[in-house]
Amino acid sequence: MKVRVRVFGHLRRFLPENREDLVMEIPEGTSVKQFTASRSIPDDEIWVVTINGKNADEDAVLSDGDELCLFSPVGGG
Amino acid sequence: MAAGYTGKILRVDLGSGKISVETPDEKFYRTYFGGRALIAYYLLKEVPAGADPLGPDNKLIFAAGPLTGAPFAGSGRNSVGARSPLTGAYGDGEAGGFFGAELKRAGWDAVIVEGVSAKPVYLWIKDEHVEIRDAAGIWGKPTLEAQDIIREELGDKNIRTAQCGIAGENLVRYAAVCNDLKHFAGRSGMGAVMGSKKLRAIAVRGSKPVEVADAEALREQSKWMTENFMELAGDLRDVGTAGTVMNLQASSGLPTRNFNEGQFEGAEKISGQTMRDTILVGRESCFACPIRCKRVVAVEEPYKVDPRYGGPEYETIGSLGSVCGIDDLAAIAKGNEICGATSLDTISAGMTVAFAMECYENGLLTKEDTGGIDLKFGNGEAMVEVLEKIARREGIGDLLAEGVMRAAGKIGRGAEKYAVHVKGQEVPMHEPRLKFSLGIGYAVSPTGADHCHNAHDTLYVKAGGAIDDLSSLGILSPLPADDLSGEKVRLMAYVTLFRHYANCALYCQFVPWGLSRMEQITRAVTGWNTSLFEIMKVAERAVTMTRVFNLLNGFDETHDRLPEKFFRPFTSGPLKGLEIGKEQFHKAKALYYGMMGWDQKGVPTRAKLEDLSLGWIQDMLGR
Repeated sequence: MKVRVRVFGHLRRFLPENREDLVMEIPEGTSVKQFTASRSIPDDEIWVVTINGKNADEDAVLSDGDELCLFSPVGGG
Repeated sequence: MAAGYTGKILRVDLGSGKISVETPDEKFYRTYFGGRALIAYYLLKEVPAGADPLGPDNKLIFAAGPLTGAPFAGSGRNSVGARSPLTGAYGDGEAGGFFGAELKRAGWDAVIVEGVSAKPVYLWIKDEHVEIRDAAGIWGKPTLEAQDIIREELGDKNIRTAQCGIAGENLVRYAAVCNDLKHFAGRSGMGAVMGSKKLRAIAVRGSKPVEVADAEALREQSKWMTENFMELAGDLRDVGTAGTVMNLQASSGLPTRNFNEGQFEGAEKISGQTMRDTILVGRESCFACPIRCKRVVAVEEPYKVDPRYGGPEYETIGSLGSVCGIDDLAAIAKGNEICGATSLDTISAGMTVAFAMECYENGLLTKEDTGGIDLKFGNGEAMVEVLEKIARREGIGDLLAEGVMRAAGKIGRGAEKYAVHVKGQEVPMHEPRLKFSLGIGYAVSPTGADHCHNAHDTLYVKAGGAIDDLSSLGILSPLPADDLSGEKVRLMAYVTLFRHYANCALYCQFVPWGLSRMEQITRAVTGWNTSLFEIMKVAERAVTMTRVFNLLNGFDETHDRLPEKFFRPFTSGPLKGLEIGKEQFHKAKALYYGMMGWDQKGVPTRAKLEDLSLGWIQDMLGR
């Protein structure tokens, strides 16, 4: 199935070709956690996850045509 | 032999024209370092309680720190402090760029400006040579033009400047001090103090590198940073601090329409990514830093934005953007340029515009008041127009130049509920309903609401990363962002203290050295056998001294509060219904006092003063 993956912050280094926004082919039934593990994204680098604009947790299962966004923790100053 | 600090403080009396030099001993520098603690020391000793912030008895202190100008990334900063005309409390701002490093290279740790000049002047410091010069040629001019004129007049294009801009000349209560055109000691209205003294600028040129105790050790640190900064600095180079926008949008922490909401439908249009892909034309760094987080933008239509003024940081994207409901990046860039050219704090300026917008939408301000401007949320053109008026105190600008607290007082009829400030300083672009202990930090900050000497709870929610760095202070476990337990207050207290240290040493918090390396760098620069323990005590000194200054100037525990808006939970989004409990808030605040060694009324105890070698303050508290 095809999922549009968008990452913010420094997470682009975990995506193919250092992309921050791309459509990826991933297996049916993949959860968010399984996807991030497959890209070797450390757990502490993911702070917020949204699927189709709505907040989701890491156990949420992705569907064909979803837009998955991953956000890093941020501070300020 | 002095290393790090120069051992010389310049004192300039603009009333008499007297210029003198003071040479405190090493103990003084090791006790107070520089920046905030040094400023607080002189304000406590020399500015009488109740002194008019815009009058002759206030003192304006430009303070670098022992680490400023040493060859390591993030060392280019200096503070500017005085009694604040915005809050009446202790005030300071801190700016990056190059001015602070140049001041140290000229051989000076700090400049104490006192009195009032009869006519506009600027100060010229070239190594030991110090001169008060006529500023008639630059008074009333934009910062860029004024810097060019100064450099031309003095025949040196490498001169660094700190200016108050026309906003400071016009005593706008949140006028900033502008370093090198693009870096701002933004908060607390230090530009207005500078303007009240008729001091338009300080121009500085220094020829000597800063002495460091262990150059080899410092070189090793720099080598490490060169090898690691791309990995550790996140996306600061790619998208700047504006990279925060989409993250906060996703978590309902993006201040929207005067803090009425936490998510903004226009967030993507004003994100760091969009800025990068449209109006960004360059990335720049401060003194000795490889990261290049500073933005340079250019726009032609519908606003002409000069790239020599740099570009908007996150705070500005929020304050001139989402908090005003504005999704027009070109308008935000123009607003940023106007604030730069006139030297206005973008946070206070934007928040005051947002306040005026909410008043207008609720009928407390009319088109007659605004001079025909349709000051609705979302109107970028209106924001741009109003900023120009504020800098010149024209029309509605004269009312808004007073800041939200005073403007609300003048408008009356319930306008106070739209004035989002603490102690009179407008709240910056971080949402307490997302970051719970940040809200405590807003309430207790000596300068009013501030996000820099504060903790950002969202960094500490998972193991690894930022939590690992705190382990050297004994903070070993992450906590949820909405936790306000004793453990969270402890985390917030320690993090905030270390940020106060950054304001004394001075160094940039965006450079990812981490606590342990900062301790090592402090040793390498100064040669002192210092420790995290001593460093935290310096920080405690800054916090307690500024606390005492405020107590003496009419502040008490009732001023350590949060605006009512933050106690109303969001009605939609991921934080829907999540409430900061008032009782919980007050308990956490009381715990913070206790952890700082203050009594239940937030007054430092005798024991805490002695612990910090501040016994001399006892008499001031009437004890």
